[in-house]
Amino acid sequence: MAAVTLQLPTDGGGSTADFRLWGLAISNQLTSFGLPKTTDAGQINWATVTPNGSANTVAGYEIRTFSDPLTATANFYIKIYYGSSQQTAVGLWFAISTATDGSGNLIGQQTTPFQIGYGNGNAFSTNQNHYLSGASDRLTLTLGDGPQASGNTYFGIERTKSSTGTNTGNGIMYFCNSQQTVANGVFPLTGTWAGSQPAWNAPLNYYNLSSYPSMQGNNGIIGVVAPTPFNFYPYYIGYNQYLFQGSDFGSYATVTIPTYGNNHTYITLGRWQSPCTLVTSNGTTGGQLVSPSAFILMRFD
Amino acid sequence: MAAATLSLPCDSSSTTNFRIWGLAISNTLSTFGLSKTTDTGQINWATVSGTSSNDTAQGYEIRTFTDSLTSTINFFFKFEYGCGANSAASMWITVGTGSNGAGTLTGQVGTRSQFGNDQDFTSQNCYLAGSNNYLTMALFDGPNTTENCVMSIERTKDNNGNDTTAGCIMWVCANRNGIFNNQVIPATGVVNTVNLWWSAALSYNSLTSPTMSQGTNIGVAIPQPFNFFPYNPGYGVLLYQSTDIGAYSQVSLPMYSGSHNYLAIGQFTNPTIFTTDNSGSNRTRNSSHILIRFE
Repeated sequence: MAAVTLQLPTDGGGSTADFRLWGLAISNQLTSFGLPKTTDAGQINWATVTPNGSANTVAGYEIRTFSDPLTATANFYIKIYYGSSQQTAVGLWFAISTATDGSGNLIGQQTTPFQIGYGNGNAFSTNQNHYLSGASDRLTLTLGDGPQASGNTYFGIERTKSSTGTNTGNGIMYFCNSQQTVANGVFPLTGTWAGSQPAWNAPLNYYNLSSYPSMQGNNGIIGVVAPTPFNFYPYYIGYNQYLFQGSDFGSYATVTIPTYGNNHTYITLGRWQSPCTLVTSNGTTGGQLVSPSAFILMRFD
Repeated sequence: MAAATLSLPCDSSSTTNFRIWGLAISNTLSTFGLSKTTDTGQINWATVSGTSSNDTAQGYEIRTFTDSLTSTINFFFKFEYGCGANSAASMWITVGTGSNGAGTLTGQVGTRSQFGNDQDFTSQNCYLAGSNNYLTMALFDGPNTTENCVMSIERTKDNNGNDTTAGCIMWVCANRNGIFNNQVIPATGVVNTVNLWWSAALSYNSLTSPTMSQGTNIGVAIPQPFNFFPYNPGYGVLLYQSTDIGAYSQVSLPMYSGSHNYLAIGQFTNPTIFTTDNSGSNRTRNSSHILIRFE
């Protein structure tokens, strides 16, 4: 496993040179993590690809897989589209299936593509901090998040887990949070995919919501919650992401969190947008409380 | 550990009925191993009178756990017995770490939480389960109506689900006055304001037909206890969606490393978790119902 911070421009939607620089660096990093490209024809050629300069447009794709021991019995294909988001800022799409036709088309049951991109005002020719972490069985990434670019562009995938946190071949868990997509779910190896959840589902603390949302105790202990992945019913949580509230952590801080008894390092992303604006209500009166203050901790080791 | 189903009058306006239901519950708590303290002023079931005054307690008992952790940290539970509304039965629970010997809790004291009813019936089912370190109750739930009147207390848990001395987890969900309280009363440190809603990760798909089931696979959600920060979940209560599990049916569910028996209570109200999507559109989830530990 590994974690890197790549310094890359985010204006590749309108600049061929920056698009190739940006995309190739991410592509190489995925390969380095142990997420190999398939032999599908038609995959992006970083020496020749050219963005068309329009917003929310795909310039090319790669198809990658896990390469862990479960790949032999439970392989998933991840189609990554490289292109633009708003204005000329870069953007990615991810789609998941269990098969391809060898020519770059996912076949059989597959997810819709999840777009990971920016809102307006985030196309920078200067380097922005891209955070990536991965291994042969997982990936977490966020596109340029600081020092100038802002807006969550988070995507995470990993294998489903057993009750003790070990990988299973049952499915692949995904969590997305960006200007274009807030979604999460479990894509199963077999059986029906229920589609994505439109918000992240996590049991946050509702105390003092409007004025000071927090899960920090007076003794200094800071609580985090793991979002629950679903495909019809809940699956065991993964390692890829947690949520914290309000300003319990500073932006871009790294912290160690135990999951299933295993310590892993997480980085807090920019606190731009909550992936799960949870609301609760008194079932009798219908009065609602909004908690738009949950932010992401991304696995980063 | 043990479970009991009692058929009792949900009525406090009649002194006879009040004594019948109160004494039956009181005796069951003693049987479970939740012993009464020597505090003075506790309710005398031979002399206490009923009442039809809304939200009025007629007396109290102070009880404690009696497990092996009691010598390290004991919790004191003040159970009050009285009337909810329309002459129906009601109870209240307050958790503390001490008492003054005269019925007043001292030390770390939680929020007094009512679990009462709105409808008076001559006979309703009361479900209780407990041991010397936990208690769950769903009182006066069926067969005539499905008002929820749920309470759960247990010790805090470690990562493996074992009891710890850190605190006591309390859950209440009751129709009367719309109470959906949860609170962890820590053995030391600040007791935060009670949470007025239950926090749990429910599925938001199929909003018009809420479910967390597919075929024979039925998912449940575990409500998260808080005192400022989240604690490991307890065993006392779980949530299911809509009609995934039939009311009053019992299911065996894995919690931590063991299987435990749960009872799906009546599907009247819910601790209600909602969400909004990223655009701010409300997505209502008002169909979660409670499973209580019942063993």
